[in-house]
Amino acid sequence: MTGANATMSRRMLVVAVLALAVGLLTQVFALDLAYPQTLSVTVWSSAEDPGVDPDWSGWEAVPSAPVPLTAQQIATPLGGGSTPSLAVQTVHTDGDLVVRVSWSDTTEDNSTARTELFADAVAVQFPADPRSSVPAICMGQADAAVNIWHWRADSQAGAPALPELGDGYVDRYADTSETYYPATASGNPFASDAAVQSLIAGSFGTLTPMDEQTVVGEGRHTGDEWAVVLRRAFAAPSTEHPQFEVGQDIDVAFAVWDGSSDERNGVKSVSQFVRFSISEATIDGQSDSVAAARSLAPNTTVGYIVVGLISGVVLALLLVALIWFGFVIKAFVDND
Amino acid sequence: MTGEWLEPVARVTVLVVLAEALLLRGATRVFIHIPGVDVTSGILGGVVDFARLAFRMAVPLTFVLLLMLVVSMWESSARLVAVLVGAFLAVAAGGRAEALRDTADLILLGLVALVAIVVVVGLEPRWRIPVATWSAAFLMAGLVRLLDQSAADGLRVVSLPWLGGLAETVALAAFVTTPLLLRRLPRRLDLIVGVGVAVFIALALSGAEAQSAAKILGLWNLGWAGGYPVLFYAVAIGALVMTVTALARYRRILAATSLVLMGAAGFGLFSSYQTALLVTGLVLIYTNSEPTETGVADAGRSESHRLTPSPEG
Repeated sequence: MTGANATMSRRMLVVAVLALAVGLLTQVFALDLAYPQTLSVTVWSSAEDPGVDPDWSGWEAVPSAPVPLTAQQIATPLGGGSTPSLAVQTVHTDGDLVVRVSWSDTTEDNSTARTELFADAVAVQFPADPRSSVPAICMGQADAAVNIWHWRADSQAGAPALPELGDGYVDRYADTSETYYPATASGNPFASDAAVQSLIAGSFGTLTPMDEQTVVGEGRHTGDEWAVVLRRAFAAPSTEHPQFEVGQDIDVAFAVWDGSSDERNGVKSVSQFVRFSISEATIDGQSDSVAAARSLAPNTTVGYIVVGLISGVVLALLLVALIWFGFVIKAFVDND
Repeated sequence: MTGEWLEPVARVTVLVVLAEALLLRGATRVFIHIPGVDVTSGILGGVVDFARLAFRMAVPLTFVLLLMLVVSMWESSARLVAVLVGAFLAVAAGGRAEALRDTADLILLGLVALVAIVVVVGLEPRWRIPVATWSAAFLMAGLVRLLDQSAADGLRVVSLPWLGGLAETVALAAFVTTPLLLRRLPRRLDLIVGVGVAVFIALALSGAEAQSAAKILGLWNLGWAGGYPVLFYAVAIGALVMTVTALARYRRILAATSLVLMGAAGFGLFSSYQTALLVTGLVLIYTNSEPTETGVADAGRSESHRLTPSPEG
């Protein structure tokens, strides 16, 4: 080994040891020197209580964040992707987090009464531990579980009524008897009357209903769109639920199922993780204009300037590349 | 002092960043989707812990390397880039401290744009094509995120649904043109490595499930939406690997390092760490380029500011 190589190796060793020490320190003290730049959705404070009403008038004043969706392509059954995006609006009121999600869907699929029918649904996913710095993508992992709020159109609609059989049968039993509803009798969560279920997952195949069902919600289909509101108190009922608080940033992801497109289980449209930023900033739910929200949007002018600047630079860079590409082609031609 | 330690720090950084990208963003996110596999114990548990440690090491190393580059460029009179990168570091720190909570991403992407244009104009002519297209692809993908953010903040500046697809197209063009960074034709061994990687990727991703998993990991980790046939990505990555191999064999270690760091940065805004990887890559390319006779960067730039001589050239 030459002297220069030996010096290089020695210095690399010193750098590696120092980096290891810093890495261990940041690991032990959970220090993150970088910050995430994913989409941040502000959770506004609202004086007016929206309940779980998707048509609450105050939603008009709450900015709507577009979240792109793609087909679920990691775990079988693969597929989905029929819903390209959804819109998210969030407020908090009186210590409750309220999330409204809406997406285009021309068909209202709220029955699974036959095997070939599938219901529309939406899910909102949080890391069970909101401090987890490495997002637990997909269905979480063994040491980083996720809490999923799952709304289903068929659960909200309830089981279809059985046809009235009249008096034509001797010794006919009451249709409401649990004898006729074995899923309900055995406690199958899919037979629940609740529109929303709170679930926990620690990887694929581990999705389980929570013992404490504290998420409520309601969906409404109007024309060509679903709008669903989900709501839960900030205070976590157990350690398996994320605790929310003002000033907190928390990862969140979404999934949508379109029943008409035969989407169910893993066949769905999923988002990347975005962030909910729970803010003290208030939004006036009584306001009749979106201007109230826009006045709260931070740094409007800076945004316009920077977006304009970046667009200009992109064009300039492409132009430079194009011109020099022309020169290179010309040089090759001239050489020939 | 800074110059002596720059290359050792760069070498360690690229190794740790590669470990982070391959293990944390790649392997561990595949492990957790294998039914019945416990990633909290045994060998896999060790791999997961090591991947997280690599991430914890990669972040400070990247910022330290960038800081060293600022000092080196300031001392060698490339002060415009030094000031821009110094501002980038300050804003990244402000974003981390939440002092610039709402504007940090806007300013950071603006600074990346300025660094990119100064670097591109200051590069020797043939290098401008891959670096300009790479920077443009990153900025376009970042712009998509900023526009989504503006809508989330109640501002619909403009909707450009095609911009993400265009960014991916330009990114592929950037990869394919990276051989222009070589001053000589690649040798046979470099070609074999590049073609081998391309063939391996094309074959490995020929199955529907592997392709699907790669698509979603590529999108979530690197901003690749996977809109083109697999062959396009195989050729693009093969060209990049061939260039990196050739640069390394010509002992242009910092230039090779720059491409690896830029590749690990991905396209678009993920975290200030990944954005810093791109800036580090751009600056390393700048400091390894021959000075131009004209251009913005020449204001205070001279031969002496190049941090390493180039045996190849």
